[in-house]
Amino acid sequence: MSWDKEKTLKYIKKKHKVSEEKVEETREFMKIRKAIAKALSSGPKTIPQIAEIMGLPLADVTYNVMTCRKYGYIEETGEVSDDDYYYYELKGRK
Amino acid sequence: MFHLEYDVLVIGGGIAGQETALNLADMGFKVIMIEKEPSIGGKMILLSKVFPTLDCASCIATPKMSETMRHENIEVLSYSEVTSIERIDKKFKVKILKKPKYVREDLCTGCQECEANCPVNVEDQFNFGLVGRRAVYIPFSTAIPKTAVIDIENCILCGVCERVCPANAIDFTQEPECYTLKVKAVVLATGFNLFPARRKPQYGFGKFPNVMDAMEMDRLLSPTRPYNAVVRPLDGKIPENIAYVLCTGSRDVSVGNPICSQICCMYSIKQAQLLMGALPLADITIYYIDIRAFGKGFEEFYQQAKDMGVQFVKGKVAKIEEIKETGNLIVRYEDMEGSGGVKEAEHDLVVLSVGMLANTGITSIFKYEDLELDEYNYVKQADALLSPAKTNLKGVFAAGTATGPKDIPDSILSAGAASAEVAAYIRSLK
Ligand SMILES: Cc1cc2nc3c(=O)[nH]c(=O)nc-3n(C[C@H](O)[C@H](O)[C@H](O)COP(=O)(O)OP(=O)(O)OC[C@H]3O[C@@H](n4cnc5c(N)ncnc54)[C@H](O)[C@@H]3O)c2cc1C
Ligand code: SF4
Ligand code: SF4
Repeated sequence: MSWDKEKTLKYIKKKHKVSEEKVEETREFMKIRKAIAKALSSGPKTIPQIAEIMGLPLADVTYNVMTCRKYGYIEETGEVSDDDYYYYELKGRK
Repeated sequence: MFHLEYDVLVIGGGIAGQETALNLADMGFKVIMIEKEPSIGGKMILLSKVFPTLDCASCIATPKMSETMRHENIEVLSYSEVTSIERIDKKFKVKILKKPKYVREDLCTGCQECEANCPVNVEDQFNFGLVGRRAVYIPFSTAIPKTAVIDIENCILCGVCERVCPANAIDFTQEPECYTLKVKAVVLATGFNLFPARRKPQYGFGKFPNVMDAMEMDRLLSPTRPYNAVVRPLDGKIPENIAYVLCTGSRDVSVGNPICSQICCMYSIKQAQLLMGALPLADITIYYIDIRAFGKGFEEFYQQAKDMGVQFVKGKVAKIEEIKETGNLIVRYEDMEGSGGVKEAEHDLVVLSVGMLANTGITSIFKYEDLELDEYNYVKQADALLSPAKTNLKGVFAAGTATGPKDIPDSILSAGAASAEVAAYIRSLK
């Protein structure tokens, strides 16, 4: 039962306030995750190729691609491009 | 089970703290270990392999961590801190603060279901920000205890973790807990701090993504590697030409740390050898002032790296600049042999071999007495030659890098000395 499963959350909600900034950062990450998934929906890509589609700085894309990799959303294909980049593809986890 | 009286308090659960605790526990002493992080293990559990044997660090560290956790004479309190220590007659009154994990350690099975579903992403401190982690997380796959912890500062209280946890282990009603207990002796095994590479702004760490520190590189080379490969943090490119800058923040009066950190030469040579294995086509250059290969097997390890093709350039690096278009780096150095003068070289990844700094976090916990530090802020050894573990405070001892830079074998040796001195001290109290 969901009320039973969330019983202690109610307790902390009374005394701990969540900042709007944290919620915003979480929304932002979810957007980035979806954008990476979209970029990869047409097939495996390297990080510079994903960054070009997303229009975000390379280092930010690397961080987010590696984080999505860690959480099992994407994985490397094992192929390496001529200019020495790994290709990443969707792994099935939504 | 938690008691109110122990023989020994060990502060810090790195390799030195674990070794001290295990030695004392095997002799029959009751030990309480306080570790501030959610897992014991210290820096060693985050390393790839160890010099000069190239043994896998976690293969050595993990069994020791579980032995520490399971020993019948050792109680481990993780995510806890000592807030004060007060001498009362021949004992110490110790106050401890256990921070809430918001997860019941007795119920959590480490299944990571919570982590897989938490929507939050923040920088993973155990991967030095190379990747993210959730607000509810298990610090790393070899963590001990392998239980989740909620980072309440970054939690958005969405409740997903509590809904999905199959063990009903999430408990947001937890509060900080304070304990007071008595011990006969204290061992400070609080380790070292990594030199923050940002304090050498001329090297561009934090500004140029392809300038990393050696701890980050050890993570990239470890079995639990965050990128599953050695690639550049800027763009995921496989590097072809990697440089090491030795003595970053060590032997350097300009940053207030004139001493040698004793580990950077050897861990850089270790990483260079591992990189040659991982990236057989890459060129590796080590910029050094001089190589200090003083330990058993170290000189041979250094020669082995040379034979493998690692380039050693005697040169002091003055500045690192980024080439915007490629993210490659221009290393400007003073050539200390050959034709001399200022030279430049291009690399596609630079690793700063950062040294050790003293961890001064526990110096103010002693009530009504002062723990003496040496001139570099490490715990001062009262008699470095004859009783290396003794501090200026009777009954208070130190082990590992708390007293100065050391590698793992030396940290273990110093833990051996600390346990022998503690045992003799406690027996003398009777
Ligand atoms: C990049 C790098 C590579 C290295 N490679 C090698 C190698 O290949 N071979 C080798 O021999 N050595 C290597 N070393 C050195 C090795 O890491 C150290 O020798 C070893 O970790 C020292 O152990 P320690 O227990 O003294 O300290 P630490 O590992 O620092 O452990 C200290 C522990 O105390 C805890 N703590 C700190 N303050 C408190 C507090 N106030 N309350 C409670 N707990 C506290 C910390 O959280 C930590 O768990 C390397 C070091 C670096 C930086
Ligand atoms: S808190 Fe629950 S879901 Fe998270 S690791 Fe522990 S048992 Fe699994
Ligand atoms: S309640 Fe907090 S820790 Fe749990 S899933 Fe939500 S954000 Fe993550």
